[in-house]
Amino acid sequence: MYEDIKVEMVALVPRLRRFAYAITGSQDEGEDLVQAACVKALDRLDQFKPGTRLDSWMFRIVQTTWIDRVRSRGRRGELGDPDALDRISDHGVGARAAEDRLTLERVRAAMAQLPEDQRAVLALVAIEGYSYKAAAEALETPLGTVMSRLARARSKLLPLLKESE
Amino acid sequence: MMPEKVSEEQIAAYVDGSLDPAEAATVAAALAQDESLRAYAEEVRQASRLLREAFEEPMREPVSADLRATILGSSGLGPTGSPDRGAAEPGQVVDLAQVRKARRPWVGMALAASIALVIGVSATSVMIPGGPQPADQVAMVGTAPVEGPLHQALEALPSGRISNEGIQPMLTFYDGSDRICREFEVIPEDAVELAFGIACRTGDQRWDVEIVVTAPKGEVGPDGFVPASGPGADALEAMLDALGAKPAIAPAEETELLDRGWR
Repeated sequence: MYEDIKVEMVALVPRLRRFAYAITGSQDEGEDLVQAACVKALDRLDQFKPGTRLDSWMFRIVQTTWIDRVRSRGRRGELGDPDALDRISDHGVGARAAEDRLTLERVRAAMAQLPEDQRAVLALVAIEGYSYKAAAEALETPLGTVMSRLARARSKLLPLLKESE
Repeated sequence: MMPEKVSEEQIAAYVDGSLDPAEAATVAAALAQDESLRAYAEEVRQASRLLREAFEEPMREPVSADLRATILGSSGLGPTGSPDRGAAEPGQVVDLAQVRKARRPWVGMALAASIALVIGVSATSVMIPGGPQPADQVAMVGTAPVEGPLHQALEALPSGRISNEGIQPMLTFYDGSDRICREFEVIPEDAVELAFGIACRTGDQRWDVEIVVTAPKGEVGPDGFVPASGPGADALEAMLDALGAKPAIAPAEETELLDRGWR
């Protein structure tokens, strides 16, 4: 059963991991989150409506799983990125590469300062290229809410990124 | 005619490809006339590019055998062996088609032929001196530096040819004010994203880049084909409308123009 969906799900994994990295701020946490989300999705494949977007459905599951984790830990936004420093030293080959790496490190730090709901919207629109309407459907949020979250996220993010130039 | 006032949210929505055709045309017209608005659009676009790059790493890693087995079960179904990211997976093809369809808020009419030309161009191998480089550093809105690779490519290459820097003029057309304009693509091999743009030739023999849109390279299909739709292509088409682009000129006419130095 559901073989086609499962094959499609495997193909989606890299994008799910990217999304999870963007909302959690940590690759390891993201990897783990995607694993958990896939298990959850497999449990309720009967709830997936054929003809709708599997990626949207999966992003939603990743997002809700993350919110559950954050709540159960009773804290938010203080995870940081323990592997960030490792990654800088791992690949510090050449001045240019190191500089780019630092810029991207700042981008991740700026993203981490945003509230959870804004991060998810921004990840779908800016990284995944979702339309506002598709993002609203994926996150089961009104379109107006998506737009205001996005506007707030950008008004905070853009000045931070400007500083880093 | 005074351009209508547009808000930052509208500009961002335009860059995000989330406006309906009428509103997109209004914003494109305002952008064409106001440098400060273009600067804001560029800021939004750069921020999205940085975000894509910042969280890009998981895209490069193959799906672990464990997770693959968890999802597919023990049926042994699906592609096995090397988890090479470049290999096309059946599900991925379906998914890309769906994504494109879902992402296309409208179908632009202008220069449908140009977009058709884009299809079938594979991501050609190009080497950039100094290593990987984001596609849009080669192409920025504004006058292209005469010594730079973009100016050189637009000046010298017939449409369909690709420069060493991965710049490929796609087609040539006249805009509403009878300027010669060229649509181009930038596809560096190792870049995270590719860029499409339009540049028009000015009276002083320069090329003014009117718009650059970028698409994550993840959108490149398993065959290396560039998608014909998506927010980027839509923004480009809205800009073509705003410029009053006429149909692309025939190759023979282009050759003649090129030989005459675009005069």
